Amino acid sequence: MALSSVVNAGWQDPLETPAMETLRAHEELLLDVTNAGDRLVSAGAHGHIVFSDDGGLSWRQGEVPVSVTLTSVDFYGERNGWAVGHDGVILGSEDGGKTWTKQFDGYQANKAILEAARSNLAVMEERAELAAEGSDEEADEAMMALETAQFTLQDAEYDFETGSTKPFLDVEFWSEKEGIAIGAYGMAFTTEDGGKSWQDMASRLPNPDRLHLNSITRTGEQTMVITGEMGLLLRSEDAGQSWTPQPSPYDGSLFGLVDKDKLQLLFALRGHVYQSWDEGITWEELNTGVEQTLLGGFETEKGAVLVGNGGAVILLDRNFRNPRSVILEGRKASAAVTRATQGHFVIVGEAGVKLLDPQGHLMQAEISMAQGDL
Amino acid sequence: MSDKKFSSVPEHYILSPESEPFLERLIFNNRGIVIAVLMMLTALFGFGLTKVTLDASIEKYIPLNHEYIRNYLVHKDEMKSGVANVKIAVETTSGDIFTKDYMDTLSKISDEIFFIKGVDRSGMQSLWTPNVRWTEVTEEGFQGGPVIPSTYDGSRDSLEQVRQNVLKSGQVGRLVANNFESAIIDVPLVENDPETGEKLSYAAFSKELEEKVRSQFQNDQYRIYITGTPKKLGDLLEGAKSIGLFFLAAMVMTAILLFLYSRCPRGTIVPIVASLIAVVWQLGSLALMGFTVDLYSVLVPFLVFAIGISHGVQIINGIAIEAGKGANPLQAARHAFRGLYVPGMLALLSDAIGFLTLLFIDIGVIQELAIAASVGVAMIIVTNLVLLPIIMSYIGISQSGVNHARKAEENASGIWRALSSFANRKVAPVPIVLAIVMAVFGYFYSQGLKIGDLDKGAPELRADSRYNLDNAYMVGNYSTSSDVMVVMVETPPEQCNAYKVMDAMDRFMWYMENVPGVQSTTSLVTVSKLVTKSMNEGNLNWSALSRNQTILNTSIQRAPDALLNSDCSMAPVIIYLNDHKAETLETVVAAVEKFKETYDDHVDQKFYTYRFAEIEEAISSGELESVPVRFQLASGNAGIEAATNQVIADAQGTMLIFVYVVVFVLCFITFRSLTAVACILIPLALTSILSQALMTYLDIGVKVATLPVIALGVGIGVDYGIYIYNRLEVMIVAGKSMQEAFFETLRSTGKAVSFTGVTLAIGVATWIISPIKFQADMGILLTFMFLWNMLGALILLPALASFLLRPERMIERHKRRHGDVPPAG
Repeated sequence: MALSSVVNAGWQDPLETPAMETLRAHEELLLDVTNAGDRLVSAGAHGHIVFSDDGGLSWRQGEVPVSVTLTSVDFYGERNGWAVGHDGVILGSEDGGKTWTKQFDGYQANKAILEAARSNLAVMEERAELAAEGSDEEADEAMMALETAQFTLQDAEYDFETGSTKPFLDVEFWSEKEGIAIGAYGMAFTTEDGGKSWQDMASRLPNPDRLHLNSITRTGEQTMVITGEMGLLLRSEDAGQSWTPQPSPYDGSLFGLVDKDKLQLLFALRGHVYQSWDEGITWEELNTGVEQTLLGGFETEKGAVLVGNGGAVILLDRNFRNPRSVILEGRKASAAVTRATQGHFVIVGEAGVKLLDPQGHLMQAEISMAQGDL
Repeated sequence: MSDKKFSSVPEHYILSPESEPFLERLIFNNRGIVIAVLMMLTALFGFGLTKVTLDASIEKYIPLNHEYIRNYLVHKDEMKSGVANVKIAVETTSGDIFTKDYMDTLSKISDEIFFIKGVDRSGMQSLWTPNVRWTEVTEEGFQGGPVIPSTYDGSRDSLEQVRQNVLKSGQVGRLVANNFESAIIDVPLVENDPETGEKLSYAAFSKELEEKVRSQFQNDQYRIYITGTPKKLGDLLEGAKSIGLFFLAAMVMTAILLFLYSRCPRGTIVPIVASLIAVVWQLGSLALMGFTVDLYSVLVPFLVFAIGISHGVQIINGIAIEAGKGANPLQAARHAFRGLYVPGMLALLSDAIGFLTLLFIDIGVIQELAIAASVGVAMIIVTNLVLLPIIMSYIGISQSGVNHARKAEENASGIWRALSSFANRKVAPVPIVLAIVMAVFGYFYSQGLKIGDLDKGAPELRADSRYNLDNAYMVGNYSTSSDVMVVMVETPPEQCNAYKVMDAMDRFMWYMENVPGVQSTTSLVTVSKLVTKSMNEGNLNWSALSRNQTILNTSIQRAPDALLNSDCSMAPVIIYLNDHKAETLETVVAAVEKFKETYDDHVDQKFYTYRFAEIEEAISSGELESVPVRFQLASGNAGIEAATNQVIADAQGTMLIFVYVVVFVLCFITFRSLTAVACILIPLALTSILSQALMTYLDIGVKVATLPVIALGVGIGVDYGIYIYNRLEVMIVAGKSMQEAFFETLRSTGKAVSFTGVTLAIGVATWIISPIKFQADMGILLTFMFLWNMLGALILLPALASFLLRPERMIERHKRRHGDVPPAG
């Protein structure tokens, strides 16, 4: 055979491969849904980002330059949006979700993490030298921190070399410029220029075991909460500059938080739901009767709705009390929920888009996708 | 035969004035020896009958040389697990499956199946087998156990426990019906007995299933449904047995007709015996040559018998007429032989060669059908053109037969008189115009003709067969499709789970899911995503492929064997389709080909044999960019059918052209006249067009079963034309007017031809009630073609002749050649 031995370049890295055009994204895995004014925007598998202007009945596909699985999407206002996902990808849109550009990816993340780990190690080495002259206790502590920094660097080097990347799991913006993206193994990046540049902020988080960070929620002007693996609960009072660990009511994974004024609701593995009346200082478990892991939540002035595995949906009243559970037909897992301007809930997950009326009944509406501009 | 046949003015043998052809002298002067030799041959082939075996191997039904099939055969043994298994659903008619009685019954059935020969016991899956488990993610990690726990005691609590476990097991839609009214026992089979190495008999297995499961457990409370390729083959073989009965029925009906026709017991029994001898010769000789009988070639004896009878009738008819003229048995037989052996041989030869054009279709069963049918027809030349007149020369036709022949020739002229008017130029335009209208209509109507199988379920069996009803139940109540296309993703060894390969597979699956006609896809990627998600606490955000090879490896550690081969150089992508209509298959195959264009790595074949380290080295040295991968079509029933459809679509035109070329050449050599050929072939062409329109109307696609029908229909159909034209020409040369000549033709040959058409039609019409769908389809089409060809020869042929033939020139030509010697026959 007289074939050139170099492989035909048909396959390219999913970070370089635009999402395929499809009319079935609304039936495929979608992992997050959010509001951009009256518009709904949802993101999921194969680099799909779809949007709807009629409350989720008909959808169109945004142009996305990558085909990796996207886990989260957030908008500030009607036009500016960001989507994050696997392979450390961060995308930005300035036209309400129609077109997206890549702002950041796992390779850049690996590089940034490696640099951060190196400078952190340098700091720790210095500190250890200083501490060696201090008390035994101080010295031990510094040596421990140094060891951790060494391990962190080793991991960062390994990831950098093998190209193994980590997924972002949530993104939150509180202005056109400022936002935070968090993800697996304690990965966290922040931007102050709308995503043009992203800086590693993992070292600012009190998360020495590099636990997965599952969600980030703003609960006030300057306050925000991160939930994560093994009951991790972090709180910032200064718009993400500094973070402090919070006492956690649970030692399993916390998947998210919804809040209304001072009321907060934490949802977690195996149907665990905790409620706080004092902005998360004390927690009380709520018996929902549901044993399915809850992955997404949304609050309204009239109450809250939580969704999760096995088609589980929990509706709560305005005091986040009296949980009522519904099982969606087909028992497919849901990942996120929001409310459309029209008043009904829009749930996304394994089976794509589902619409739920305010009473919790599945709406028998025809959901479809159309090509191009309507 | 005389030297004159090589003279400068060619003339065909039929009008040969030789009073005693060489062949006739050879045969009739040595009658004793000929009979002895033929009896010995019969004994030999009769012995061959004991070697006849029914063969159900799937390979013969598929185009082995098609690229897709070759790709499939490379991996055939590795993918066996998916092919040879049977699913048995047990349905309760009241309530759901979570009752003590149901669970007990399911357990008993499970146990019963466990001991059936051929069952791969370790691979069996049902709610009662320990390999069906539920799992759950808890704070402590994974938890799980068998769906029916060891503590199960049939109490309400433990039944509730089973219900919960079923929900957690992910088996709803797979082992448990979506409506919880039935559960499946999934039974993989061991195709070769591990001790004896003997091949599992599907027929025996299927029979045992019926006896031990269906008859024993099906009652008002519970219903049993069984599907799977082995069961289907078992049912087909069972169905093939009824062929024997059909043969008997066809024989009895033919005998009755034959007696009514000849009114002579000897004239009835002798052609039947001669035709049966032809069948014995055909079956026996093929068995001795090592051929087996399959679901197609099992039909050949019908054809051989029917063709044999139809030629036998011509001879008997001729003998009766000669005897009526006062000839003794020997003279009558010799005259009948002399008049008929050439058109008879020509007709049979055109049958045989017509059948041989089927060899162009590269599918085992069709080629063997071609060989079997050709051999059978060749046998008829000996048994019915030689043996039959010899026997008749000894025993002679009975007086009742002679009287009947004479009477018939005198009496039944009313209808022949009426028919003969078609040879009159005043009437002839009617059938001609009608034929043109029908041809035009048929042509346009048959534009809707489809390639492939069009029915749901197993197309080999009838839509209302037990198997297809069971299959419809499975499809309706479980999340499965019975139409599956498998694309084999090939890589070097140990690389089927490389990130690049898995990602390419992931893209391929999503690409295919966007193709119309595709329901869903499954592969190693599905498992990997599912396990990765499960390892991350069931969080949907993690259902993606990891770039970390260690995580990727872990995620497929427990993947089912069916999703990758043993050295991880091939991973199938299973594509579930809505149906197996040809358009669906074409769309899907085209989509796969398009994907291949972009994603197949065109690298030297050697890289596909490289070991893991060698590939790594080739990549780091720049010889390769990444792990090579290619997407190979195709396996699964839909994949095989797609290949078959392509072969059929390609062969269809070629075969039609060849079969017509063959009959054209044979007719032309015989009659040496283009107008003669036109008179014979135009009615045939009309039948071909109309049969395609009929197929369109009946929703019968062009497929393995119906393609041979075209060759058979034309090959056999030409006989009528040959006999009629031959006689007509003789009469014209004798100086009769066109209409008178045709009337004489009808009185003698026409009667035999119409009888022949009916006999042949009876032979194949019995297939119509066959439980095997494609045999029924062939039966319908052949019956139509045989009858229609007969009508064509009796109506359209004379009408065409009245315009095309030039009697003066024909007479003149004959005179030039033979002087005043009258034509034979």
